[in-house]
Amino acid sequence: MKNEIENIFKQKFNSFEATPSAGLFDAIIAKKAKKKRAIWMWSTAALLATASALGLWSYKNNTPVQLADDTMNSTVQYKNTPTLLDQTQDKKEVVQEKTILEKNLVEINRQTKPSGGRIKEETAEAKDTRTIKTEAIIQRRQKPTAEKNRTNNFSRNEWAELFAKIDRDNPTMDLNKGTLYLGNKKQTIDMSTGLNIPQENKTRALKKSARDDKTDNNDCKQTLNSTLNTITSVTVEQTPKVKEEEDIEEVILPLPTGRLVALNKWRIQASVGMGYASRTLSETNKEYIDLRNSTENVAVSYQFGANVIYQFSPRWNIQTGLQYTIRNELFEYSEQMYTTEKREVQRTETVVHPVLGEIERTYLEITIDTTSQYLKYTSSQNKFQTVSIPIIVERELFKHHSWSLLAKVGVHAGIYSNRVGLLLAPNKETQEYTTLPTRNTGIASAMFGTGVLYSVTPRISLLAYPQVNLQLNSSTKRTAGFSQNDWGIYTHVGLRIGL
Amino acid sequence: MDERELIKGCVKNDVHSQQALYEHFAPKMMGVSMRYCTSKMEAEDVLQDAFIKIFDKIKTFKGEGSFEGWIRKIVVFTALKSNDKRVSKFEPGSLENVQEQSFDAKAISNMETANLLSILQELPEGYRAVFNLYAIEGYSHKEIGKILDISDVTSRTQYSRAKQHLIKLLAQYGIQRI
Repeated sequence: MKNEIENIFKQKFNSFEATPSAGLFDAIIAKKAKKKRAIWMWSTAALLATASALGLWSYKNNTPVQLADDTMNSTVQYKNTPTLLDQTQDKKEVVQEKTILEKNLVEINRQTKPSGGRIKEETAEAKDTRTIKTEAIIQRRQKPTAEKNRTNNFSRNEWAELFAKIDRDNPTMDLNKGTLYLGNKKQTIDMSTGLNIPQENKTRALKKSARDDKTDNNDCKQTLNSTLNTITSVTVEQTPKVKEEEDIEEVILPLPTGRLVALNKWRIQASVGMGYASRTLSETNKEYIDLRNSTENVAVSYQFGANVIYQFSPRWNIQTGLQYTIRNELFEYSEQMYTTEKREVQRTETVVHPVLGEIERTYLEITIDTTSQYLKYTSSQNKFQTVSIPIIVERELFKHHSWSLLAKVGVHAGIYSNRVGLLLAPNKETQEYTTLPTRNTGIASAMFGTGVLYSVTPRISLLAYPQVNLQLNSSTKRTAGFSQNDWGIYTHVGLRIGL
Repeated sequence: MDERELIKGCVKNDVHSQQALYEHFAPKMMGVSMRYCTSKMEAEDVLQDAFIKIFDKIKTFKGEGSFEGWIRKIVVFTALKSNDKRVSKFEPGSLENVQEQSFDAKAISNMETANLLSILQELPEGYRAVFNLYAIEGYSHKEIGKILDISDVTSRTQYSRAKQHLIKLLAQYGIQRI
């Protein structure tokens, strides 16, 4: 009868029960706890790495030098002007605002350099602002009724103006928590307290030849790093050169005229890498390792990465995301058989002897023919695929114009692994990787690398990143009889976009 | 304890609830696991891994369908995954026209379940998996194809061969064809 066997088996086994061993539940709880501990250990390690990186960064940056004696103490007052809130008047008001800012600058010039001849004209409007040292009217679209007065002790009024500009372009920003970076970390202005600038950079930042009006302008990036997740990158076309002349005197530097780009601390990055990847084998049987090494050859391998980057300081960032690695390998094994054949031929030759005359000599010629024959030839394109989550700390080592030299170090936690292909078993039989007891998850690896980043725009950067990956634990389980750790050197190229 | 309360307790990671759940379902699931494995030790390994998964994933059980069915599915899939690690066993093949044969159904019914289990465990790995999934769990060949990552034709072929093999084994136990 059709399906009779199925019905009987189904009936018999539907209610079939068996008693597991007594300690199995305890073993389940113990294994579960072990798994949980492993997760905690990984999380703690990641946290420790992040905390160490942050601590190091904080230690290196916590050496500000306060300039009190040289500052000119210009006062900046910010007021809300409800008339500027009308959207239809925006353009006009911005123009007005610019005019006022420029006139304020003129006013400061006159106050700081009363005998200086550079500023020749003074408008009536500028005169009106004389009583207020530096008044910048900024529009606050989001808080039209609130009035905010702020006094900042900036050493240079043009920085005060820059401060006003940043404030104007970022109405939601809390300026009390802002820090302005000029070029690198040593030139830092704390917006809530005034100027903090290292002593060694003071001259460079403040002085310039009065007679040399031709400023050698270079692009310089200033970054406003706000704790309210706002970084404002400011491209400014001015960096005064130090003039080692005796008659150096202070002049007012021109206002930054660059474009303000609002960036937050997050970036995204996609990259693709190509390189050389192989593995190391550990086994007591050296012959087997030699056999494996002679049958497995390196092929080009690939990596694909998609990362989210959190820029927690201008130089440091932490990254995570997903990485997909394909390590390729060419397996080739051949068994050859050698057969030998012996041939014997009796030959006779005549030799002329000086005494005996012509004599005949008989000898036996033996020829051995060796023939090699392929008994077995097996080849396979082995593929080792891994998906992992990286935790990477990256630092900018050096920056010149749009180019940055970067270094990164991190760990990868494997979440999925798959191996396809053939290998040779100790008995010289080919074996499928799928039959090996291997780890599908929990393969950890360390990585480090150094690369170059080119900023196409303040938001978009291109990168080229050679990096090394070293697998920390074996991809095979103990029962496999050998351990196998992958490693690879990849060069990534990719795109980084600021959000 | 009520099944819902057991689930709630397990979601909260309460060991007593976990133990109660284990004690309630372990014998039945051990039976399931033994059908897919060749030894008791192997079946216990599968059961251990399956219960860890059950406790980890229990919060994802939405209450749709039977809870026992959900647990059974996890045990079956864990057993299949465990077997999958050991050997590659599915030979792709064409659909064969296997002659259906009749047996002394009464004699098979009278056999001890332990003997039937021994016969099942003697089947090659791939045959056993397909036979279990089709004949006992009630999956279709299309579903088996998806589960085992083989074509449904291969599943049918494996099933036919499994039955042929089973017939030979039954004959050793004195079950005659009619």
